[in-house]
Amino acid sequence: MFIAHYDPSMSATRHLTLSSKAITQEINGEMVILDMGSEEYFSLNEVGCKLWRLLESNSDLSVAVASLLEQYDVDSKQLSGDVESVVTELKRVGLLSELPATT
Amino acid sequence: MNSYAYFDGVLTSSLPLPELLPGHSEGNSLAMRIQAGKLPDHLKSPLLHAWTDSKGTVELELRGGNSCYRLTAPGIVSTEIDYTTNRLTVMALCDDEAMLRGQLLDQILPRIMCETSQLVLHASCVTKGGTTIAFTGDSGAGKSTLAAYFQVLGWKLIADDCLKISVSDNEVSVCGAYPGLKLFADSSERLSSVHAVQLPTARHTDKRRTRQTTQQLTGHSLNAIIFLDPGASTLQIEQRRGADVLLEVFGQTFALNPGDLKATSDRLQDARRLLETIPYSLTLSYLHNYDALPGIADKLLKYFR
Repeated sequence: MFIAHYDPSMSATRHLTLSSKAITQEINGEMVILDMGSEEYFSLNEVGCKLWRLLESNSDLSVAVASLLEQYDVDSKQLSGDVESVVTELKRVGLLSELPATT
Repeated sequence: MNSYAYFDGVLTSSLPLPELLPGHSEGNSLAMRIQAGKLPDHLKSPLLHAWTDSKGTVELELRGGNSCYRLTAPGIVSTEIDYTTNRLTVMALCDDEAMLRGQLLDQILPRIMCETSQLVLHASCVTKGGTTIAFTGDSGAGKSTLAAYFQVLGWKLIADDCLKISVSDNEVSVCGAYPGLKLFADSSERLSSVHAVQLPTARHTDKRRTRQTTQQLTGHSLNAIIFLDPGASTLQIEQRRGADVLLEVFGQTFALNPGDLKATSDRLQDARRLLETIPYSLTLSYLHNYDALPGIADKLLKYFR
């Protein structure tokens, strides 16, 4: 799977909206998500949990990624790939939706 | 009306419930009266949730809303819970009274208790010398068999299938629905010393029900919750924390209306508090084999020494 390198200065702004049917609970830095729409359950690891919380307060993905880069001593390309994987999966199961891109 | 002990309270019922011990008047009243009666056509109420088996057959369905719910096990029993009068009306849909009571005691009443309790967990539970452990897992995972084996070792049974859990700041207290065990025939024969009073059980299961002659055990502090993973080739015990185990414990909780957003959110939060408060949350991977029981018990008990 091709995962683009995320560069906030070069990319269009991406706004992501969390499902209103999701119930969440954190434990040991990880997160459980119950989708009351599909009645399916999911779990997120520590980075996924922080990404969810960041998107709760600001739908701009670039802001969330910038915040994660500040918190983790990790290569930005690696982090961008990880974030994109989580976003793709959450969109696939209907817990995230992406608003039309703006530049 | 007869009074019966159920969890840490007393309920009254015009239906005989021989699986339960008599309730004492000084007990905490559950304010729930069970009576037999006729109910109107349940299909007129909106369907809120259906519990199905692995083949998609409906085992239990919930209809209604607000303060009045209809829980029906198709072909077995239909019940109506009216929370304004605290009355549970029971209408038989079959002539097998043991099967009817099995649904009532192990499926319907635990869900009703969820409305007034923190958590009701699908678990067996035993206690000895201040150590109390609960076994949880899917049906057939070995909850009853392990509880019965620990009884052979001198432990006392708190619960076979339904465990009420209350979490305070630093303690998890538990009590069982009633002191009975349901064992498959082979388990029952291998663990013959736990035979007490043989009672009829549902004809759709091969399990035999025994009522323990001890009193209802309440208010014990839970030390460990053990998730059963049968079918493993090697015996292994692993301490677990995190999202996956929270999902597992949540999946074993009873709910009256799984579509109720607030109740579900509260239940998930209570499950998290349970895991954060309890000293041990373990997964026991083991081979489902009666000959392995002594080794399993020995390894588990070393964990708590």
